[in-house]
Amino acid sequence: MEKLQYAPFSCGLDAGFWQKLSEKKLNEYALDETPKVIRGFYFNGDLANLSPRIVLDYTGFDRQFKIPPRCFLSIGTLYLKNTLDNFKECDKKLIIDQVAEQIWQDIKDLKAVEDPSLLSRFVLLSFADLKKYHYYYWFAFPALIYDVFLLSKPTSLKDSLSTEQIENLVKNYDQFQAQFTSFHGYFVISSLEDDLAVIELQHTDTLLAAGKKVTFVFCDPCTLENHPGWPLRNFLVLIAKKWGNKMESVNVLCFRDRSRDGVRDISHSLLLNIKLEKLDDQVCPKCVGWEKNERQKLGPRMVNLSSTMDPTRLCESAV
Amino acid sequence: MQNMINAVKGTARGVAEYLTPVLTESKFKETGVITPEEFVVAGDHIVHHCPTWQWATGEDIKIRPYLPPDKQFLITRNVPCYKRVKQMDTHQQEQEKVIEEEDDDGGWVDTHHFAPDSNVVNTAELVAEMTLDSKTSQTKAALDEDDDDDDEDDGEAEDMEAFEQGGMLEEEDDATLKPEAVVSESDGAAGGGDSGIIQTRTYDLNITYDKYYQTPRLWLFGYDENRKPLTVDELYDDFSQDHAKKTVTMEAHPHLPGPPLASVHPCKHADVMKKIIQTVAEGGGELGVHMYLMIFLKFVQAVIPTIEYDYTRHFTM
Repeated sequence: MEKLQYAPFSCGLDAGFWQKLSEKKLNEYALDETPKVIRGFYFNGDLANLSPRIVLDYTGFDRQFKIPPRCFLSIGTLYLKNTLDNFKECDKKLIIDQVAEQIWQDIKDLKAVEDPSLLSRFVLLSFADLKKYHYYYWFAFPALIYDVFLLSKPTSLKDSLSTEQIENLVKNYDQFQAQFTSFHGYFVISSLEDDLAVIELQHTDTLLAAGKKVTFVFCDPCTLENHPGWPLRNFLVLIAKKWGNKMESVNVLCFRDRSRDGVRDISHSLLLNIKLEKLDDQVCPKCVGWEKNERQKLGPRMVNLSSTMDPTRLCESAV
Repeated sequence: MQNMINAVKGTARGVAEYLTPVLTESKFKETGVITPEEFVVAGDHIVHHCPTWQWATGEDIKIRPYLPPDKQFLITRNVPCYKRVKQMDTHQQEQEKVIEEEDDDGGWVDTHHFAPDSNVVNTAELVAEMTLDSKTSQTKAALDEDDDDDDEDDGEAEDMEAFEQGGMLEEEDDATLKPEAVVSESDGAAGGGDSGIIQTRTYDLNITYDKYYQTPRLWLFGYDENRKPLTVDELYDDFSQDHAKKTVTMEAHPHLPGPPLASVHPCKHADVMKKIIQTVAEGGGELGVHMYLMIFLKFVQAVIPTIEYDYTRHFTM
């Protein structure tokens, strides 16, 4: 049996984000180092072979954050340090473990069944050298460790469903998402009267009680042919915790929704058949997720924006 | 020189924009310009056909009253750009079609107008080829980056390697896919198909409505292979050499905070659109105003030929 491996998230930060962070630091946070809530989003329609990423732009600080259309929420914690030494010396293990504990808590008391977006969290540890326009940052996408194995090779949706069934699924998916103010990244599908119905995760028990077969679905930012993306990791822990005693294996659909040249396509979505391992549900599982840097080492990154943000340099290049 | 002229024009334009009345009457067929209402219609059309494009609001304080608050500008993110323009030397004279001739600045040329459709396949092959030597190109990118750090004259950057953690931070997790693993997997298994994650430049593109020129305007924000913002000079690699520095200017985005962004200067847009509409009319066809942005995106491709954004519909001109 093949062990399931997930493509990790990477971060995408635009220059507007750093500008906003600088303003916040100067005008609002000042020397306050307490963690702040920020928000990012991911997308499941990228072209093939692009790296899955969580995007943060200047809206990430807004209290009334609006997720862009067709994107999915990820909740973040910002640790903005006052000095480079604080940035360097803070306890990274503690930081990620606190988020892992939070995710585990939401899984244990089943809050994540009602609001599965709680499963998708990130950490941004940062230090902003506002005089030099140097920004140091390190992301973590915390995932609880729960090893599972594939019972069969991943198949694509087009090999399992007919063209009509796929079209039907797209229609039901659109209707499902249209009920909410923003897109939901986790749900289930089940066959009801010859139709593949798209249903909220919290109704899974009702479906199972009625003897229906359920496929768990998550919106997958990954584009690889044999591997799912990161959001499945914590979702599987939730599935194992909540339904592990009722089923030995689960079907998971990695929902990918691409449009190109005016044609919508979900047929490259992946179907996985996963053996559910027994989960020790007394203790919080160990956690991984710090992003590797350009050298593929565990370490932060730095971006120098002086050429675009420093007023004196902007003046020089303007003439 | 042209760059400077554009910069000066940009400032003057800010003043002029206050004074320009909002266009209300449709002059699209006669002059190639559009009203804000027509911009919204054309935007809705493109969002419907190419959902990678979406409407955005931008900063609240920058909302323009002549556009609906939730439809201020269009955005598409994470658009790959696998090659630099100079690497793409497939330029052949016989594929050119001059869209606009009588213009002292050289006019617009659709460089791949008569190119056969098999180009699509070629690109796919090229991308597959790229994967094989992605290791070398990655190392090169890393080296380039170290150079960048040395170039900065405004205070030394910290040695980032000093921040790297030993094995203490987290356990080695074999459920995390390693980038190299995918590449070797596809090399080994015949027909494996999974060609791995390509580290490539990506772009976020915006289309705003330019009230002064009464046309759409394209903005670009680029990321390098490590998703760090591209510098202005790096950006120029992705503009066709005929247009870089002449048609492309750095200006403040009308709806977003942050540093100046690259934008394709709209001073020629209306003329080109007019020409295209006329060409279509001569051929007996008619272009509805809802098609405006699709045509617009097709013609700005001459400026940014390697950025693979979606503009759908193979309509004929």
